[in-house]
Amino acid sequence: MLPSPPQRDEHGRVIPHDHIDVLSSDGVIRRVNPQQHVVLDPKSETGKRISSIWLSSSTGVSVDLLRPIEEDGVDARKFVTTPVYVGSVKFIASDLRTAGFKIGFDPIAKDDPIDPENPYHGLLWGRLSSTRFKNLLAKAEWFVPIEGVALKQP
Amino acid sequence: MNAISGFRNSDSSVWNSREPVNNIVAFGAMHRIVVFDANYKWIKPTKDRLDELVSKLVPNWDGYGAKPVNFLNAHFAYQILEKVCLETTPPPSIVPGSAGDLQIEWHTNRMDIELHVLAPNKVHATLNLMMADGLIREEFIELENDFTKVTSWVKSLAEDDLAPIASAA
Amino acid sequence: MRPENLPEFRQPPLNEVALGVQFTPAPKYTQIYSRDVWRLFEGGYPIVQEQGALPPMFETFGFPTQPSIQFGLGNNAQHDRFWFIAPENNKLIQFQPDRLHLNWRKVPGNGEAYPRFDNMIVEFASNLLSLQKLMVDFGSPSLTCNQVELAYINHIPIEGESGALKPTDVLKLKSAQIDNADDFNIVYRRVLHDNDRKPKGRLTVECITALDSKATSILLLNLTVRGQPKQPTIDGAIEFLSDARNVIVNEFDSISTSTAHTLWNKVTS
Repeated sequence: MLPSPPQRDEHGRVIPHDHIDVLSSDGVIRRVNPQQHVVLDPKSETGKRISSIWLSSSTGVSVDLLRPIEEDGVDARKFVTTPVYVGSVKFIASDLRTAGFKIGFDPIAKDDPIDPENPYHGLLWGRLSSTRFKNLLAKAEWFVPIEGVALKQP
Repeated sequence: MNAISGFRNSDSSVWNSREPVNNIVAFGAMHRIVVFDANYKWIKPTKDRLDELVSKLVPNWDGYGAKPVNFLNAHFAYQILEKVCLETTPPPSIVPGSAGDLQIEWHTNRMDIELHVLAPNKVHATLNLMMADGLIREEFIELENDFTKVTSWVKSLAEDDLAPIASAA
Repeated sequence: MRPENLPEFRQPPLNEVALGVQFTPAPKYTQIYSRDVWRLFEGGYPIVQEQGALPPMFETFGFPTQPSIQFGLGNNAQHDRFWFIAPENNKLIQFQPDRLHLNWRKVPGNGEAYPRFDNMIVEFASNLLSLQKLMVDFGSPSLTCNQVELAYINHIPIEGESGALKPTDVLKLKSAQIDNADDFNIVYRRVLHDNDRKPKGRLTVECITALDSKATSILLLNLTVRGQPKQPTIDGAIEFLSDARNVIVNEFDSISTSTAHTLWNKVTS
């Protein structure tokens, strides 16, 4: 079942919130574009890793909420890699909250003038220090791995 | 500044150079040589990368409706780099954000430097430096137009005899 | 308001004065709406010309390096820069989605005196407020001013009507070689600080030899201040411009000679 609809401001933007229907044990997926999000780092196990800006945005970091996707009988791996987004990382909601993020629900309708339809779309609000970013990725796992890119940060 | 136009130091000065009424012939203009571009190895890859992020990054490039990098942010990023990079500074990685922002990054075996350009005059700068005892020193500062502090970080990077880091993209 | 101690010249050799603000473009504004912008100023500026857009400019601070050549980004569709020109051809409003400028220039033969900064800034503030009001319709509740610029461009005759003055007669140029040089080009830049000693902008002074349209040898003396306003608002921009005027006038006064001061009719109290 989808989380309850979020509150929006006068411009239709979701007001930052920590949604009660996103349970601590829920999976939260963040897609990775290997052409844009990956940087070279000699300290990394493979010499390549994900940039910290991938989890940083003043307007909220977009994610996919895994439980409602699965409850709808949708193939989650296929959903988050359609059409071209090769990689993705899975977090546990409690780890994100421990790192300081609020996890909100922000469904995007089919007729949205700007963003692509995504009924399972969520947003993360918060700012991570480098240390917290590394610690968070240490607890995360690849959902759809990208070959040659290390998830754990050096 | 427009070094090519030679005698104008103001972009907003228009009539002097283009209108027939006060048609000025500037002798000095023909003799100015811009050498800055030729020797700095970070410049060409950086220009190419910024150009790619502004004009070739397709909308929805992250799967969540992200926009290409904002034109003003790209220009501001370049003007930061002009003020913090030395001739020997390796080209940084430049990574787009989802809201038209971008991040300039250098990574070596001992250092991580990240400059997150959220908007013109709004930059979050982070340094991670591995100390001799193996501990990491993390420094975070919010900057507007003064990047003097970052020059010392980047200078250390250039002095580091480690392999330069190029953009992954 | 003109500060009391600011040097004043009754006949400055000004050829052009330009006030400018750079701001974040309104998200929903596109070139198709430029007619709405012209409508704001059409009464006083009925002539329109199209020019190429100026690239964004920012004064940043770090190593004291020279700025490089501009670089272009991409080949996407770009908005033009519009010139809205006064009938007398002496004033101009420049508009592009991230800039608004007001220029005055001396038109040879019309005898018009420089209208003075204190008058120009009143008009410019009004122009900015009008534009801000319009941009609300395009998703921008207020202009976010990220850079401000003031430029004074002087044409100083160094032969002919001034009686064959040498460059060092009017400017305190130190090199003994200057007067015998066929041409020269001198540029210096200085960081300007706010009260907290934080850099807020830069003064650029450029002095070069040139010929005007009558083939008279002149010194082209450009003084420009550009930087970030303390607050990114119209009020912040106006405050920056007022401070910039003081910097430019004081610099002009300090680098010019007493001979020049007499020639330009400096007011002595």
